Amino acid sequence: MAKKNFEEALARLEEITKELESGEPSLEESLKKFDEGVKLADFCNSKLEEAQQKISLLLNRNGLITPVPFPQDTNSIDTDL
Amino acid sequence: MIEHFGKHIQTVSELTLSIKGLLENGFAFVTVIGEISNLKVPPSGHHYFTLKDHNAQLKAVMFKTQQRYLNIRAENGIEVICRGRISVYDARGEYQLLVDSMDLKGAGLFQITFERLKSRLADEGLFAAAHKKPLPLLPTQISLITAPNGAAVFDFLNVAEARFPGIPIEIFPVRVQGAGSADDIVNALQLLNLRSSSDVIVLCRGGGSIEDLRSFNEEAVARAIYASEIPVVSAIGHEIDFTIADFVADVRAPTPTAAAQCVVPDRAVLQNAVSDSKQRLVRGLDKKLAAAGYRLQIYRQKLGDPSSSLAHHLLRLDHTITTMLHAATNRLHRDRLSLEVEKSRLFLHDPRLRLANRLQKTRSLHQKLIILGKQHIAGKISRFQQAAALLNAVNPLTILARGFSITRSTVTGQIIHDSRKVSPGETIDVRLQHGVLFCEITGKKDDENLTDRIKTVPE
Repeated sequence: MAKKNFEEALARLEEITKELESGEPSLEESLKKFDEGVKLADFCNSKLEEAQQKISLLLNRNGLITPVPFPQDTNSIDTDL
Repeated sequence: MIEHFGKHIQTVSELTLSIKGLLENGFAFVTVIGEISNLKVPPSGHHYFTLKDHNAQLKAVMFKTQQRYLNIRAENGIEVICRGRISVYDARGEYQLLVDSMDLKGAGLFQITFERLKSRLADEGLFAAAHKKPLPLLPTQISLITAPNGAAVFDFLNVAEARFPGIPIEIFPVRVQGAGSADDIVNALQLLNLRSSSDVIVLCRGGGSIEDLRSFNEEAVARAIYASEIPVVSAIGHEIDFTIADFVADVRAPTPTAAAQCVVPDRAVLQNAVSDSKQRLVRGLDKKLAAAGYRLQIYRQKLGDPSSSLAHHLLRLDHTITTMLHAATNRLHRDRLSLEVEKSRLFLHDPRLRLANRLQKTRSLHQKLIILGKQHIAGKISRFQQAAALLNAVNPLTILARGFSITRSTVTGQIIHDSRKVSPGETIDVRLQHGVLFCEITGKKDDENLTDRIKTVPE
């Protein structure tokens, strides 16, 4: 679960939810799944929260891409491009 | 005839102005078809050319500002449909068409090349649905290949910000039209793939003429999009514009705004999905627990008063144990007896026992042997002693010790047993215990046999 990405975590969470709703697993199994599900939900939430505004402009310096902050100067907008 | 002419004399300017008024009012919206010839593009960027057909020519000008709406590139020899108005150029006394827009007549050259490339790439499988990669649900890095100062970028960023504030976006600046733009785009796609840290690429450009979108119709760009390991979303031009790049891209968005909508997830929706799942999880478990509780309740009722039931069970248990113990004891006793019998039988055959017997026997034999040996030796010793005593008794030396002597003839050396065998005068040797006497017989007396007497002496 450590290396899981958001998409896989969400898919697994939904799978667990369905299993639990189906009532098929035993009580003990259900508790285990519930525990895993809650952890996945927390992981997903953290992924949704962790993003920060990071708009950068990539400069190509001899084939090496270097990000610099993107100047959002609305005056220079060329409506055509 | 003369009276038809007015008395008023006009200047050239006045007349030209009148004509100008007539023409420009009368031909304010014209659509004319003709072939472009004599095209001139001075540094101002305006297009000057002549529209002609078999019988007539029309001077035309297209100002630079209008060219952005052009879907085609003006070229000598192509037949075009121009919309515009007639204008009179006073200084030269010429009228011309001011072109607002221009289209190729029928399927133009561009269209032909476009269709040819499209079908070739389609045959090669560049547009195959099987090759199209899915977009990430929550991208960790969105890369925009676009003109950094274009309106398209800001449209994209605005929508992205509204849907998911703070989602990481980077802009790879490229020329999106004109010379070198296709190379820029190819290069950007390749570099981003080489770096491989973004999980979706958006190829983005605002609306423009077909000519403006030309680089997005180039084969090199199409191949670079196809080769990209990172999914590519195209958002080029307006909704009605379809470029080759759109066909190759994994997802085609009609506009940059739409691209942002399909690439950037709505955070609220995702959060809802997560919290919904969590709630369902809790409800699911609750249901499970409730069901388990209910079943427990039922069993509890079936059991009745647990304490009385317990006593009952305890009694039963006790009884059972007693019975079992009794049976077990009886059986145990019987078993123990037969065990003892078997054990004693077994002991009879105990090899240690047999060994002990043998040992005993061996020991007594050994004892017997020793006794017999001792008796045997004692017998021998006693016989030896008797023999020795006898021997001692007959030992001549012993006899000499008792005072007897041995007499021999000096001449013959024979032992003289009988006086009759010698005569007086003869010399004899008398052997004593110690020493020998040389004697001369002076007399003799032949006497009785002493030997017989000796013989009667018992041993």
